[in-house]
Amino acid sequence: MRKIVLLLLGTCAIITSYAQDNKTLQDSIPEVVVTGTGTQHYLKDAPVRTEVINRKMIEAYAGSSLEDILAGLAASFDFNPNDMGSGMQMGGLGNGYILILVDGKKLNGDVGGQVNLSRINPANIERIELVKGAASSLYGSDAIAGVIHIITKKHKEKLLIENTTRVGSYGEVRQSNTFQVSTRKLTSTTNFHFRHSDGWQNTTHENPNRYEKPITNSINKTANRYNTWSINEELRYAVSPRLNLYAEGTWYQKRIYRPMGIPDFRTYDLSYRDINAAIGGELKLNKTDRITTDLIYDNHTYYYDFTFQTDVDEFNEEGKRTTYTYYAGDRNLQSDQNKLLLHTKGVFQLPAFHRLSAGIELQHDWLKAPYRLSKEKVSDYTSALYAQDEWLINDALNITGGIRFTAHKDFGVRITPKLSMLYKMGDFGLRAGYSEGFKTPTLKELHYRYISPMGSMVSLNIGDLHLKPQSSRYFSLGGEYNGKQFSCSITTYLNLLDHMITLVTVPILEAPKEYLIAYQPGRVRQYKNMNDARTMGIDIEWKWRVLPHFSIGGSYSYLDTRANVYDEKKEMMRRITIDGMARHRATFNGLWFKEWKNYKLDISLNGRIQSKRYYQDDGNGKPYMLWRINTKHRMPPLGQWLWEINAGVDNLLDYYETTPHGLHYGTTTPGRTVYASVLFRLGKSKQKSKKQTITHQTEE
Amino acid sequence: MTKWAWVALVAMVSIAFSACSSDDPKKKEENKFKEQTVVNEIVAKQKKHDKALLLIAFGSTWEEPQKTFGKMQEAFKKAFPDMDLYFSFTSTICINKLRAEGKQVYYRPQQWLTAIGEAGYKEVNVQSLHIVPGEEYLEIQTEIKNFHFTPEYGKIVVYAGAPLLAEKEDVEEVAKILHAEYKDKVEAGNIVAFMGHGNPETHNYGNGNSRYLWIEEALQKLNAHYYVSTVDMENNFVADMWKRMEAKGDKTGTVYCAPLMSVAGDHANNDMTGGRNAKAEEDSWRDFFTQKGYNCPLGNCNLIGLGDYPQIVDIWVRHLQEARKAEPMYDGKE
Repeated sequence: MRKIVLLLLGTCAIITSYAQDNKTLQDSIPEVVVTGTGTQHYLKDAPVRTEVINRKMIEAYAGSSLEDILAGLAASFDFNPNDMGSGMQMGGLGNGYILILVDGKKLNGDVGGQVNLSRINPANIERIELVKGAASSLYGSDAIAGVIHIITKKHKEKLLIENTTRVGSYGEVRQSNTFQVSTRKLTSTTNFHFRHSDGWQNTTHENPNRYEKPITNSINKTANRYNTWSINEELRYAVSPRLNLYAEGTWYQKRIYRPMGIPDFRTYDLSYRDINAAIGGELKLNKTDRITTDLIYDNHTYYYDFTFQTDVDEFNEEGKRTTYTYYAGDRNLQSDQNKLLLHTKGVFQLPAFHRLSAGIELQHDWLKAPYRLSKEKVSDYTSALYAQDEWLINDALNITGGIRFTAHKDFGVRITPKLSMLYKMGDFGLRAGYSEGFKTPTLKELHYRYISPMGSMVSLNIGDLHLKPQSSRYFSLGGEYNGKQFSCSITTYLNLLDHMITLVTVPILEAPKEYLIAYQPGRVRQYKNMNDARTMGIDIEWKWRVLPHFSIGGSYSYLDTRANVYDEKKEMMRRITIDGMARHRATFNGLWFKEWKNYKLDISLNGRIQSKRYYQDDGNGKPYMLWRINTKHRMPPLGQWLWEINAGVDNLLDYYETTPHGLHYGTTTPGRTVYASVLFRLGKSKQKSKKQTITHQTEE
Repeated sequence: MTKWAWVALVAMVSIAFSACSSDDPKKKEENKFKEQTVVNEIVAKQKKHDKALLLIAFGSTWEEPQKTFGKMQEAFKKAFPDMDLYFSFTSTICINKLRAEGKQVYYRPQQWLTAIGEAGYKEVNVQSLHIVPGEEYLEIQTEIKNFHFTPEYGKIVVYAGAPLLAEKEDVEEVAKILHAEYKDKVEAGNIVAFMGHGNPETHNYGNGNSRYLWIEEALQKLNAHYYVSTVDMENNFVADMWKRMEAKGDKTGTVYCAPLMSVAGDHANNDMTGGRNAKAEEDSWRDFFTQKGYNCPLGNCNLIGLGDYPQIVDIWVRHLQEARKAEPMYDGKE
C-alpha cells in the first residue's frame, strides 16, 4: 500500500515538474463550484475540497446514465445494480449515507435505502460536484459519505428547442427534449425524458445453493427491461432585479419488467412514481448579501404491477391475516413516501473578510406502506439550524467553520461541528478538514417489515424501533497542484462511524410472530446498529493537457473498510469488511479533438479498472477492466439548427461475467455494446464569457 | 402565457396524482369474490359424495415435498373412499409459486371451506397435516369456527383430526418408527439430530412446543444419541441442543440430521443442510456442527419428511378416524 502511494506521489511530482516547464500550452477555464459552502468559488479556491465532473467530461464520456457517468469518471464510486436500485457506494459507504442534490434540492424516495438515480436525465447534466464526507454544515442527515450535487443545464435563449435521441445495443433508447421560452420577466422551461432498455442476460445459471436442483435454464436477466418517463416544468419570474421567484414540478415514472418463469416465477413487475413540486425565490439584499427560500414537496411511491394471479396477505394491527387475490393488470401500493421541506438560507458579507451563511430547515416525513408497516402511517419531524463562516484570513489561508444543530422529535438534539482549511502556496494547496455527521434512523429502518424471496428461501426483513442514530467523524488531509496545464490532488481520509445501521441476520424469534406463522421464513434480517465501523482511503485525481488538442486524466481510489459486529450466535465481536468494498479502483480518460471550418471531432478513450469486491455472503465480485471509445461530431449547422452526433463502443474488450444469478458481480456489464446519439438544437447560444471572475465578496 | 403555464402545471400534477392502484377495498372484495367463484366451480364439479375431506398443510415450493403430499393424499383417499378430498396450503407464497409454475393449484383453507359449504356437503372432515398442536393448528380451528358460524353453513357437520404428535402415545409411536430408520447409525455411536419447526413463545398455543421435548425424551429412551431441536422454539435452537449434546458426552463424532417436519422443504434444505455445496452455508445446522468439530458432511443430511414414512402417515389417518368416532367438533344442529 505504502509503495503504491509513494509511486503515485512520485508520478504526480514528475508530471508536475514537466507540466510547469511546458509554457506553450493553452490556459484552461477555471471551474466554479458551489456545493461545499453553498457559495461560489473557483475549484482551486474552494475551502471544502470538491471534485468536479464537468460538461466537457460528461459529453466526451457519453454515458448512458448517471450511474454510468459516475462509475466511468470517478474512481471512488461503485455500483451493484439490481431491480431495487443502483447499489451505489461512495468511499465504501452505501446510498443511505450519500446525499444526492439536484440544483440544491435533495432527491427523495428510496427502495431499500437506495435512491432511484434513473430520475436524472444524463442529457440535462451541466456538471456534477462531489464533496466527500460530512464536510459541509449545509447538509444534514444523509451526507455521512458525501454529497453528489447534480447541476442541470441552464439555458439563456429566449426560444430553445433541443432534442437528443440515443439508441444502442440491447434496445437502449433515450429521448430527451427541452423547450424553453422567455419573456422579459418570465422563463418557462419544459423537459421531457424517456429511457428504455430491453435488459440482458449474461447467464442462465442460478446460485446452486439457493435451489433444490442446479438451475441451468433460468430466464432471470442480469438487468431487467425497463421504461422510464419524466416531465418537468420550471417557471422563473424576475419580479425585480433583486427578487426572483420560481415554481417547478416533476412527474416521473419507471416500470421494471420482470420475466415470469424458471426458477422464481415472479408474478409482478415493479413500478415507481415520483411527483415533486417546489416554490421559492431569492432576494438580493445588496451586492453581496442574499436570502433564499425553498418549499419542497416530494411524493415517491412504489407499486407491484401484477402480471399473473397472486395472493397477497395483509395483517391488521393485531396481527390478524386477511388474504386478497390480485390478477394480471392489478396494482398494489408497497410504499408511499412523502417529504415536506422548508429551507431558508441567508448569505451575508461581514467585516474582516468573513462571510456568514446561516439557515434553517424544517422537514416532515411520512410513510404509508399497507403491506410493510404494522400501522397505517408513520412519520417524523426534523429541524435543523446551521451557520457557516468562511474566513479569508489572507490570500493564502482560508478557514471555514460551521456548526449544525439538528433536532429530531424522537432522537433529541445533536450538534455537529465542521472545520475546513485551505492553505495556498502559488499553484500548490494544502487542505485539512474535520467534520462530524449525524444521521437518524429512517422511517423504514425503524418500522419496515417485508418478505424478500432469496431464491427458494424466504427472508423476512424487519425494522427496529430501538435503533440509535448514527454518527460520524471525518478527517481529511490533502495536497494539490493546480497548474495551467496540469493539476492533481491527493486526499487521504478517515471516516469513523458509530452505531452504523445495517441489515444483519438475527435470531428468528426477533420477527413479528404473525409473520413467523404465516411465512416460516428461513432467515430473519433486521436493521441493527453495528458497534462501530470505519472507512479510510486515498483519493487521487489528475488532469494533464499534454498538447493543445490532447489531454489525459484519471482518478484512483484506495479503500479499506472495517466494521465490528456482535455475533449473537457465537457471543463474540466479529470484525468484518463492509459489503461491496474494493481496495483499488481507477479511471482513466484521454481526449483528442480537432476543429475544421464547420466540423469538430472529439475522440475520447475512457477506462475503469477495479479490484475484487468483498462480501460477507454469496461470493465476492470479480476484478474487471472496462474501456470505452466515444466520438463526437459537431456538424455544419442546418440553417438555424445546430446538430451533433455521438457514436461509440463501450466495453471494447467485450468483458462480461457469467457468475450465476444470486451471487455477487464485479460488474453487470453485458459485454461490448455500441451506441449512437444525435442532438438537434434550434436557436443560437448566447456567447459565454471566456472567464468568470469570482472573488470572496462576489455572489451568484 | 403565465396563466397557461400554470394551467399546464396544475393539470400535470392532477393527472399524476390521479393514477390509482387496485388497493381500494371494493376492488379487493370483487377480486376475492371472483376467485371464490373459481373454487366453488371446482368443488361443484368434483362433488361425488356428501362428505368432504380437507387436508391442510403449510405448503412447500420444492419438488420432492409435492411427491410427499401426493403420497399422503393417496393414503387418505384409500382410508376414506366415501369422501371427496381437497388439499390446502396456508402459505400464500407456496400457493403463488406453484400456480405460476403451472403445476398444482392449491387454495387456502377458507376458500375450500366456503366452496364446500356452497356445494351442499353435509359433512366436512378437516385434517391438519401439522406436527404439533401449536399456532398453525389454532389457525385451522379458527377457520373451522368461522366456517361453522357462517349462517349458510351452520348445518354442516364438522370433524377435525388432531395433528401428528397430539398425545404421548403418538410421540412414542413416531419415535419407534424413526428409531427403526436410524437404529444402525445411533447404535454405531453416531448422533442423529432432528429439526422440528416449533412456535415462538408468545404464539405457543396449547403448548405445542412441549411435543419436541417429549419426542426427544422418547427417542433417547430408545438410544441416548438422539436429539431434537427447532428453528422457532425459544431455548431449543441448535445451539441449545448442542449444549445438551455436550452435557451428555456427545462432544465429538458423526452427526446425521433429519427434518422432524411433514416434508423436507425450505428449512430442511437451507437451514438444516445449508445448500448443496460441499461447504455448507453459514448458519445452517451442517455448518454449525462442522464448526463445532463434528463430522457432518452433505451426505449426512437425510432429506426425508415425516410424510414420507407410510407408518407415520397412518397416524394422521388414524387421528381422523378417531375424531369421527368421537363427538363432532360441530354437530350441525345449532
